[in-house]
Amino acid sequence: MFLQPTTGSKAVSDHRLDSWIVNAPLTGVCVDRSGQFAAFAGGDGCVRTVSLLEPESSLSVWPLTEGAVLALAPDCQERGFLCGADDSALYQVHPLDGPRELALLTRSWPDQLVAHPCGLRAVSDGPEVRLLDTKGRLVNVLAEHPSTVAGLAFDDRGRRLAVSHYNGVSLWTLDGRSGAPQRLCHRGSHLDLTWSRNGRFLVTATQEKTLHVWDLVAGQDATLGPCINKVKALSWSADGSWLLASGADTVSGWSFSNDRLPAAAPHMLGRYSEHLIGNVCANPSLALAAAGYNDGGLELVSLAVQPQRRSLVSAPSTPIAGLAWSPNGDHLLGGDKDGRLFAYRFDTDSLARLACTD
Amino acid sequence: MTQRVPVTVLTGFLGSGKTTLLNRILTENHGQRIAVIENEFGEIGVDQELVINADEEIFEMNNGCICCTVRGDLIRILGNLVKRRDKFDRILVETTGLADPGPVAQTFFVDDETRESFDLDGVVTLVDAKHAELQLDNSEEAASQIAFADVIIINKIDLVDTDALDALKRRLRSMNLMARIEQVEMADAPMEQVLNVGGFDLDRALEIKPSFLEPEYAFEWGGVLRLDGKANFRLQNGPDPVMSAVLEPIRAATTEALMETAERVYTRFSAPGEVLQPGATISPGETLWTLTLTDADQYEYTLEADQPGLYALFTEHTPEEFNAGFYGDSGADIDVAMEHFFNPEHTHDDTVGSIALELDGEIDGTALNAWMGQLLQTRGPDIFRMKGILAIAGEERRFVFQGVHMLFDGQPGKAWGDQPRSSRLVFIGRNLNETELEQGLRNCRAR
Repeated sequence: MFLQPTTGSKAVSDHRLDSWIVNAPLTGVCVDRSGQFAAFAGGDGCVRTVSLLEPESSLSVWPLTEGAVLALAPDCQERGFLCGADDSALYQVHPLDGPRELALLTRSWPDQLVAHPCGLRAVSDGPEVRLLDTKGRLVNVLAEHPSTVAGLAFDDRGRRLAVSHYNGVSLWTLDGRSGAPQRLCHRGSHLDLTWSRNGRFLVTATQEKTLHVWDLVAGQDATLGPCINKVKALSWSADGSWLLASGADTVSGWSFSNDRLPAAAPHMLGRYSEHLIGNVCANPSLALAAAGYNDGGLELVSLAVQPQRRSLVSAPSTPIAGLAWSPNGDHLLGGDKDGRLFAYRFDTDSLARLACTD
Repeated sequence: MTQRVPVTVLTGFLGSGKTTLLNRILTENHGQRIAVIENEFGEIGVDQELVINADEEIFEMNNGCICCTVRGDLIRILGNLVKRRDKFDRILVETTGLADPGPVAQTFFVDDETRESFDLDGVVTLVDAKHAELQLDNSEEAASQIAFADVIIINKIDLVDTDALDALKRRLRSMNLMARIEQVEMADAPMEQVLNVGGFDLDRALEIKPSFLEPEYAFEWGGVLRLDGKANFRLQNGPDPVMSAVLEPIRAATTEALMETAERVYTRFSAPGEVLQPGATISPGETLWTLTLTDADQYEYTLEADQPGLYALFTEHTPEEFNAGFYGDSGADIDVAMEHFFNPEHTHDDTVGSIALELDGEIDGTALNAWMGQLLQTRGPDIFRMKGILAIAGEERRFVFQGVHMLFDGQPGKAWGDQPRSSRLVFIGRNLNETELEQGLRNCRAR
């Protein structure tokens, strides 16, 4: 029923590359909290998992639905993933034991989901957000947002959940007491969102090709950009001082180093290309990021003042559809819209030299 | 680049039979994989296709400009459909009876990713023959659904008589000159009427038929007379001191032939007429005659044809209003072999209407840009749709364009070759001022 993946493995001086052709567009990629397993979500309704510990390990294919897997995130537990598919079901996928259905939604597709290691899972169901515990039991329903939920993000400690929708963000405090959320208002459709590491800033990507940032301490907000395209990827640098975004012809970065709202115009951190950047993902331990271009180009970009870059793909073709680093930053996972999946394992010293400023 | 998936938007007044039509399309043996995005309250009972509920979530971009009002839920749903390996052949979007189709259409122009993967094929509006008039009188949304349509399907025609149907067709036509109007019973519209409409396709904008630019009937009466030599047309004072008329040969004294002839002559009523004084001769042909009907109690004009035979006379007002009659030289009555009363223009006070403009010769591109820019900025919210073929000075090829409110899309089309250059534009909108638009276009004429 499903094409057998063709496996390739290549060892170069400072990295090893495993790649697979799976004949299904990549719809999501991530590494679980243990850092041991990566998962690829596919437009064929399958989640594919792979062990990062064993070299040349093969993909395990877990079919969930006939349609597409719409969302993928690391689960709240050490091992495993949280997935939403267009059969309206929310799944937990364990890399060894396979999938388990956690919930079936009634209003919409579970296309927004996130889990926190404190043991909470949040999934959108139209304008509502369902909160599930580690066992998959429904513990709360956050209703009623002004429109369908377009983004979900826990703060670092899992105490607050930010929910984006039309005309702003709803900020729920998850202290067990029910109550109304704090509403952060700004006109327009707010999509993806992300917290700064210290929980002070909340940033959304908007339909208007801009970012909007709220400073929750100073009670201020500002619009950043605009970019050339809608921003599809937001990522914080390892030290939390840069917010990186896709959507331009180079990596866009806003500096948050002095705890003030950044200037609207971004710093351009990468190489200028005639192709836009569809994906960007900062390395979690070093001052560098992976940038995926819409022509299939893939680069590592140092975030230093005078950026060094390294191209990973020699003959780009199809837009990069997703990128993810392992928690310790030595594995880079990703894939393109044609279904070519890849896993790079880097020599950390070599990466550190690329990131280094001198 | 992969083929873009065509999207058809199905709108319709409450009770017009949208759900019946949808169900029929989906169960037809068409061999296509269709996904339906329907409003929350629909009741589609088809299980072999994917049916997705949408919430008609509208939001305004660019700080609340009405022209950039889009459906965020559609962007999200279509974005999720794109992720599938097994793509659909076609998407149908059903809106609620009360929805304004504007935001749906605009979504396909405003959002880059939606546009990259999907192609808005057309807006199909279903109306219920029996209740449409009342719905149009009472609902702005109903009017905008007509205005946005590429195809208007009049459903349940078996429930009304011919006159009521004709009146409705005329009204719909006056509101939307561009749309194709189809008539069905029990929502049994064949699929090819609903799909592959090409309403936003610039290549197919070239297929705009000249007839759609023609005005509504500017005459209230048409009658067939047998002319053998001369006849006298005798009138008294009526509601108007002048009256326009056209005389035209006709192949038979039948309603069908009269309607055909009416289609042929009605553009003549928009040209300036040749003024006649009482006693003058009305002869068949291209000329629009303007009969003077002042300063006397009775007026007589002569109808004269070189060839004996059947002729149709079309008059701006009905003969009854002028107590008019036809007489031979002997003074005997000449019978009207058959007659038809045409509904005059502006029977309804619809604020939504269409305006067609035509300009011979070439247009100055810079002047046009300035005019359109200004027009869309000031009247954008009132202009629902527009289409046109332009002869730009210095360009070998036609320029074709189409627009939805302030969103505008244009490209060079076929070369003119030896054909005479002229521009045609159609605007559909609310409270459009024909004189202002005409003047604006004339000002763009190349010198």
